Amino acid sequence: MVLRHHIEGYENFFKFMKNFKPNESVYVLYSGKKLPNGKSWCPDCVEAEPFIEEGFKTASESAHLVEVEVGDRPFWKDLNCPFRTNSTTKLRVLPTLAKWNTQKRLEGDQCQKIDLIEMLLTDEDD
Amino acid sequence: MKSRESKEKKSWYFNCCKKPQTMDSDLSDQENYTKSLEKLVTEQENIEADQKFMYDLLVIGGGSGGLAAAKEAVNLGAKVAVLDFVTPSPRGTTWGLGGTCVNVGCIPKKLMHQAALLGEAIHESAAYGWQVPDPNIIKNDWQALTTAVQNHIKSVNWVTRVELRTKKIEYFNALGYFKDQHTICGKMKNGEEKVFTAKNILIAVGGRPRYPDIPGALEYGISSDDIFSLEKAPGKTLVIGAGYIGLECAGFLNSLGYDATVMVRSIVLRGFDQQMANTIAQEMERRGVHFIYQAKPSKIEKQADGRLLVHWVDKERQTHQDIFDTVLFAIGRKPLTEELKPENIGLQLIPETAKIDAIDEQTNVPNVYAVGDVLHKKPELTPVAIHAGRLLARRLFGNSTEQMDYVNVATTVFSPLEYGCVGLSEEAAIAIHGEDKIEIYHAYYKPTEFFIPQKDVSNCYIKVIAFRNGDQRVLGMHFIGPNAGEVIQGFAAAIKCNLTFPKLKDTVGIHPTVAEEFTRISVTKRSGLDPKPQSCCS
Ligand SMILES: Cc1cc2nc3c(=O)[nH]c(=O)nc-3n(C[C@H](O)[C@H](O)[C@H](O)COP(=O)(O)OP(=O)(O)OC[C@H]3O[C@@H](n4cnc5c(N)ncnc54)[C@H](O)[C@@H]3O)c2cc1C
Ligand SMILES: NC(=O)c1ccc[n+]([C@@H]2O[C@H](COP(=O)([O-])OP(=O)(O)OC[C@H]3O[C@@H](n4cnc5c(N)ncnc54)[C@H](OP(=O)(O)O)[C@@H]3O)[C@@H](O)[C@H]2O)c1
Repeated sequence: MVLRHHIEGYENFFKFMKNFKPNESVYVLYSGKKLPNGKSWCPDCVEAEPFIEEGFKTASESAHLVEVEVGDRPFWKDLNCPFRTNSTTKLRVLPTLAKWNTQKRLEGDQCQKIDLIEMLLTDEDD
Repeated sequence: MKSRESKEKKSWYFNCCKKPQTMDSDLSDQENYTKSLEKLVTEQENIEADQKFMYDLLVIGGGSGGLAAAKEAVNLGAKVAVLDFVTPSPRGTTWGLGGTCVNVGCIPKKLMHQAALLGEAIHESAAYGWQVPDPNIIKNDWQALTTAVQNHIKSVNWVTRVELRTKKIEYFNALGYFKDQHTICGKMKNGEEKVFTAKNILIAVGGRPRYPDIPGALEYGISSDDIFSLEKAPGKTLVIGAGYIGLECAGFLNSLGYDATVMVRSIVLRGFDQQMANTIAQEMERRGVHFIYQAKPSKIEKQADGRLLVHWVDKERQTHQDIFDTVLFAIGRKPLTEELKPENIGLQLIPETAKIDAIDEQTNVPNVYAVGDVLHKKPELTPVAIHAGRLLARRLFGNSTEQMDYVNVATTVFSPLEYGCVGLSEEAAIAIHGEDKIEIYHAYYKPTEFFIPQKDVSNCYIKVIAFRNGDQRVLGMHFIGPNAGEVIQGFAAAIKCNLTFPKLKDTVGIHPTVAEEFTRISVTKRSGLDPKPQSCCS
């Protein structure tokens, strides 16, 4: 099982990501902030959850999964949202599942495809 | 796995059978009987074929042509696999899925060209009122540029992987070669071999840069395979070869601030209209690129300080030498066909070039096809490979009969001032039709945007070649100036629709653009009149 981390907001996220060494396998799941009911405001993020759980069952023990709640709906919908404009995160879609320090990412309903998640986890080229 | 395989197969097979069934409906009973017997037999053959092979189509080479064919084939219900493998360059560079264009060709080239154009724009912008600190101290950061370019490429590699997976095209990172005409062996990175069988095989392996047989070339030289990911800024660079690649690389390197020299063996841009080719060379020279004409390198040595001492011989057999930081070979490309072990299936290659002389993309081995840069006497261009691959897949799996038309393919050389063309060069038009059958119209022009920053317009030049009599059909169009590719693309469509010179003249321009110059062209070479523009909007 992967090592899981949970983080909220832009600044916290970038501060947190500094903890990782360049050679570690780190995956980041960007999704919408959770509502009081414990579910994300973003329905696609909620839908993707079980697939991501399933896909990560086979992930290596040493891999990390950082789940980041980017913010509430108005924060995300703002086209100047820092998660969108930052040249590393450059988010376009929620949810996005990305391999940190690479250009590999799954966006939107791609996060609901187990075989794509497995490919993200096993692909060796950078 | 197995069950999905046969289900998918069937749907494709039934599609193929539907047509005859309906056509048979009003035939006589007797005819119906024989027809259905025939059908049964072919059906059986087909099913046998299905079971005999793992795939309907196996593509060797995941580049422009191979991927286009693979995607079209799965869309038509075929079961498809793609093998792609990149052998490291002599200096060790490798890359991901997608072929030459994406990784070490069109895409990184266009991005570096764009970087060069932006640098130019920074300098011009001061004339337009932008308060740029001091344009002369603005430098390009090579590491930042290559990182941005490589990140873009890596994201394209990944998106391609995702697309193949989504479309259920099986991808193997393996180097393929023929065992027999239906069997390919694929050598994986770890040395393991995998065997693949397929009814149809498509060769789309493209080519790789050639190196001359001179001391030091392989040890110290680089090629277009390496330049776009070079860790260190290239510094003073010698580009050997004056084809597209040589001119484009020398052009963007010079604009990015590196001293660049092109060594030309004979002429610039062989095969292109020579007046246009010499005009872009002249423009590059005006911008600071050095040219050494009629010269051939003879030796490269590494000095104690790590720089490269290059020796060359001129046409008088005199030797010369100079010191460079980087030597880039752009002397043409070699197709990767011999590595396929063509002898195992009796696949014929053109002896001098190792290219494949396919007829309608079919090789001399009936179930083996070829597209892209491996084809003999066909343009080595990405959209050509893609279009041929797509049409071939439609003929193989979609009952199509449409053939690839390799004539009048437009192209652009992304030199600092770009050159785009479609159709015949002046030389070719004269050779084919005779000088008195054709008319050559030409004009120098002044792009509106060039006035304020006082940019040199002396090489902004266009040319139209048309029949002199009859319908005056346009045979060739040539454009040197900004955005040449964007300008010439639409005219290529017009030529495909048999554009005539009167129709061109009857087209109302878009003002102020550079493309409208084609609609204003009127001076013929024959008239001897001055093709220089009178004033801006006359
Ligand atoms: C520097 C440069 C700039 C260019 N700029 C342009 C441009 O601006 N516009 C344009 O239209 N064209 C341009 N081209 C040309 C264009 O890149 C090619 O025409 C095009 O990529 C050819 O496609 P292809 O499918 O034939 O082969 P490729 O795209 O070369 O793909 C072949 C693939 O097969 C792989 N392969 C080879 N052998 C095997 C094997 N045995 N088993 C498995 N895999 C194998 C190769 O590694 C490669 O990935 C440029 C080329 C270069 C080098
Ligand atoms: N913008 C684009 O669309 C684009 C851009 C880049 C590449 N491409 C494609 O890629 C193909 C390959 O490009 P390329 O520029 O490498 O090849 P090229 O167009 O074949 O040009 C090769 C150049 O190298 C010279 N040369 C050959 N052998 C030499 C030697 N031993 N020593 C010194 N010089 C030598 C040739 O001179 P001679 O004339 O004397 O033979 C020629 O100038 C092109 O044909 C083109 O289709 C397209």
